[in-house]
Amino acid sequence: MADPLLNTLESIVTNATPLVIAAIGETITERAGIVNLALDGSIVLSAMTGFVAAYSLNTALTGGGMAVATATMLAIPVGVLVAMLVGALIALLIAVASIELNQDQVAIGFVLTLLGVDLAVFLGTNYARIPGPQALPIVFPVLSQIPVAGDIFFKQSGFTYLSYALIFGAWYYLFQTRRGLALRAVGERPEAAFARGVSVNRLRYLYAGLGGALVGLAGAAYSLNIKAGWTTPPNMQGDGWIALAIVIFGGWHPFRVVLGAYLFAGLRALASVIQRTPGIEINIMVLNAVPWVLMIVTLLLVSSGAIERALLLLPRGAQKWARNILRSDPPAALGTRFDPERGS
Amino acid sequence: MKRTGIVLLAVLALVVMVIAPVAAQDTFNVGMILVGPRNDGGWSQAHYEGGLYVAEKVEGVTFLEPQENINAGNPDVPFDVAIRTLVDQGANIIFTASDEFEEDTAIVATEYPDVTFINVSGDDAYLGTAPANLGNVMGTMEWGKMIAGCAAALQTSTGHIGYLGPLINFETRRLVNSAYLGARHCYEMRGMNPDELQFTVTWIGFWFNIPGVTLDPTEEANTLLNNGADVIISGIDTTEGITVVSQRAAAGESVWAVPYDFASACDLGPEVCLGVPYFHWGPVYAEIISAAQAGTYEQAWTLTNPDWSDLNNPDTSGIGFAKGPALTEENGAMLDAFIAEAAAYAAENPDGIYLWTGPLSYQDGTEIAAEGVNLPYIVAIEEGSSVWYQQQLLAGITGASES
Amino acid sequence: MKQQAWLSRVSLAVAPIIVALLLTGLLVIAVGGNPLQALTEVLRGGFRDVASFAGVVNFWIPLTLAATGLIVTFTAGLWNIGVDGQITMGAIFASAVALSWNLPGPLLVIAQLVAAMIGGAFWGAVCGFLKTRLGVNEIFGGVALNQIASLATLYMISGPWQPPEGGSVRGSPPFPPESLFPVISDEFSVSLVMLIVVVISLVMIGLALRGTRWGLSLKATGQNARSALLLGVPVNRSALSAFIVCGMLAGMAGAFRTQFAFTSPSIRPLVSGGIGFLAVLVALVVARRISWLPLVTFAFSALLGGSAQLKAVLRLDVALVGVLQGVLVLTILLFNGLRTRLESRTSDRSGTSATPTPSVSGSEAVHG
Repeated sequence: MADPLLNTLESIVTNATPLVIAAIGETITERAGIVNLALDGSIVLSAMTGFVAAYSLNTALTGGGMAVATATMLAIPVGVLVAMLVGALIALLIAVASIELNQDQVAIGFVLTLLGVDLAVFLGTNYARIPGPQALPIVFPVLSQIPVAGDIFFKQSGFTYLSYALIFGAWYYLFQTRRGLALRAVGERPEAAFARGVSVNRLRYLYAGLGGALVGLAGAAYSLNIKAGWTTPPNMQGDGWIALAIVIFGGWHPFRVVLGAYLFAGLRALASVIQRTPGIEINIMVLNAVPWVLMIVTLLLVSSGAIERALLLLPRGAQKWARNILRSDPPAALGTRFDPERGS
Repeated sequence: MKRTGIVLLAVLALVVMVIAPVAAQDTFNVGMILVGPRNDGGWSQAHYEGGLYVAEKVEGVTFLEPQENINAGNPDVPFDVAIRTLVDQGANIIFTASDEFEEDTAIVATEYPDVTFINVSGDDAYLGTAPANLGNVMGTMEWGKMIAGCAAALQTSTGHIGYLGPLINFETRRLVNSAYLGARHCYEMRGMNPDELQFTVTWIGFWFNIPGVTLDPTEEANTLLNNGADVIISGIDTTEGITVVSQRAAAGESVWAVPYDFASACDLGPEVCLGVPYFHWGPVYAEIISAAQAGTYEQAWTLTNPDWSDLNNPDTSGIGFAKGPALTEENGAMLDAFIAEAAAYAAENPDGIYLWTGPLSYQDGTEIAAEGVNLPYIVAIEEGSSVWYQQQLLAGITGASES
Repeated sequence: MKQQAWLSRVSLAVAPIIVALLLTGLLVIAVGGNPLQALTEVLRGGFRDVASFAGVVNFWIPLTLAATGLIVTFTAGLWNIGVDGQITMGAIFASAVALSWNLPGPLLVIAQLVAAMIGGAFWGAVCGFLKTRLGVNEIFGGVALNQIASLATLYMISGPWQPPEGGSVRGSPPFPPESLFPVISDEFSVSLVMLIVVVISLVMIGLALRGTRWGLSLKATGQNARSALLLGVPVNRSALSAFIVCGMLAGMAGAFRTQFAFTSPSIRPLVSGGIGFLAVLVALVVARRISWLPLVTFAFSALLGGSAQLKAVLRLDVALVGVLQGVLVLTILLFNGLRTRLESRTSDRSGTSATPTPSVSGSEAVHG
């Protein structure tokens, strides 16, 4: 632990982990045509429930005489599962409201995000600031020996390793499998998918639930690792909105989503480094605003066609390739309802 | 379509309006406004426990349910509404336990002249600007922070101490500076050159984390450690400092923490805790409340001090320092020696604070005490320098003096 | 037959409120509280005396202003979540006037309101410009602009407007006496001027949406931007105008907050108090039926006015009030859906959602 730069990069990867997980989850959900705007509330509520579940089980097990290390090993996965369940339930509620009750996904999501935070604060009051089980970093065999990269990427917690797996898994599933094709079809042209015999709404439920479970996992990554424990006010509040923006920045593509998450985490770290750099006197608040300004700028870039125009400057062969990577159109049927009876 | 429901609600509201509120008046009621939650593991919890202490030790006192989380992050309950609610509950005395409430307390005190108000950490009563029913109380935490700085300097192996600061004002600069003086002194005790000691302060912008308002203390603590600090002294109300350090230590790093405010704060990470400077608000609250109950309380700017014969006596010492399990035996002995030095100084100079002796100068080079001069504890700003009104961080500290 | 239909409509309207109360009540029981007592205390909190009722009204005024503005943007099919930032920007502009202009009392009050309208409209216009010209989705543009406005407040408080006694983010110094909005009485400290402003805003917006060209073009834009464009409605211009009008109203709410939200009139962190988000909930409940709006905002304000009481008497966290509001809006939306589903099943009419359904993706904005 000598080099400040390496340490900082390692911290960036750690801090980006929940953003990566939540944004990938949301990417999957949105690819299937459902927008889960309740990310912020989901993360906060699942963080709280995940911590409380892990804490309670841990206390019960150690109280029953089990060794602390064993108890933690059992308590953390249970906490994670509970958090994932909460995240999935919230996403499914949005899906039900949209599919069965024809309610606007954005409206339901917005209500749920506010409700999630209040519910977490209300129910979590008595669990604030108590030490509970935490997922510790695991030095990854072999890979951690790689110079530089080993220090940055492979001395992380299980959550971060899971996020690596998710990045590639999500990419593979979305773009290299038949099921992924169906998933995307449901979000792009549900009528066409339906005509081909895909049961559109069943898939939408499935991927809303799956994406929501990942959002819950992100919540657990906070309360069981990165911002261990539970606090009032919830110390991860606001990150859900950033994750939502990252999905757009990422053009609904796992690789670019990850890039966005690391970029945001990096900028935050930069703000914190600048503060203690003697000679630079910038108001802290200006630094705090940087990620949000960047959020607008990136959305502007991906929405205004600036990228499309820039692509034209590339040689023809590269254009198609680059367009595939930089594609930024949302799934065409995002946020709309599909009625199988009418086939539209 | 929702007409019926709304009408029902309105009718219910009207029904409730006519039910007159009832307030208990047979006991002496103590109200409290906390800036954070009662279980924040730090500043607010220390006050809450002070209230419980009074309820147990003083006859005829009821400790009303305190109003918690009174800060910008909780806009549903503004300060004046919280006060009004406590007054309606029959509060006879109200403690507003944050610097945050200083100005607002002065305003509500004139609105409720029959209630005694005590603002913690303010100085209106000292300056003579407070209404007659408003007093102040604060602890001489300079002592505690000095011991904290000493413990950190004794144990650091990188020679770099990080201080997790809240917002920037006279109080917080004074406490950072005290910790720095203690650290320099003890670094020298170790036989090291105090000029080589690195001492970095990061300010998060408020007493604790409010997402969207402050910097995130978890991230700031990590940044301090990333940049070479191996001890984190916390100056914020809450426990992020020790939580982060304990996490990093579990990952194999040799790092330590000095939390703040609350006697049991080491419990969050005993294996990394060098000790905690904390407040025992109970005794001084009991004193003030008993006087108010008897009708003899007179407006005052009250300081609560360490009991040097027994720093951790909950009935006599207003300021304590509980040594943490992570302090090595050898360093513990040196810390005791330092505490004895401080106690000896305090016995000889009842109005002074140890180590606050010249030469002392600010970051920009302004000298505030010449060689051998003891800086007075408090003097109005325009009349000269004092420990209380620190305008900048001391020379040698890395970090912002002003926001 | 008719009576039966009426009955089922009423029961469907009341049912969500009862369900929400039941659900929240279960929650209270789960933490060991008495739900009936909780409801009574919350309501008593807002109505126990003149001063606490004034507190409810002082919450109602900015909430109603912001929600009225949101009706305009919702009509145009826009998710103006940035309304919170528009409130904040209004507060900043009003504070700049209050803290630095030297005018006699009444003029200074008017100047603050005008400045607030400009500030809010400016922030609304930024969001609208990003949406209509640059295709940045207004939900995310709004979220970011909210944060930036909030940080702008903190910047002003910790920098140019830092009070002499220091402190990073406590708040500006108190406003000078001549900048204060006059109140009806010391006991009932409610601004008559602002009450009138609220009523005028409600009536004007209500009439404008119903009977003017502008209102119709907003409606057309909101219902189907593409066909509206084909019919010659200046879609982008009407969307932008909706943002600006909403911003003006929200801005005045911000000016009001600086005057009445704190112990002394001043600007402090998070000056909007989250009223913008609450206003979005209100707008979702009333959809476009503006006549219901003042009642719904009143119900919400009354609940909030009682949260301190809830804490004091029953030791329940004040977040419970937010939970109740959230559950209430959620059940109302779900019951709306249930009703349309039942209706369409019985009569085979395709029901449309009561809430507007603006497009989710930024790039779907119509460029004109």
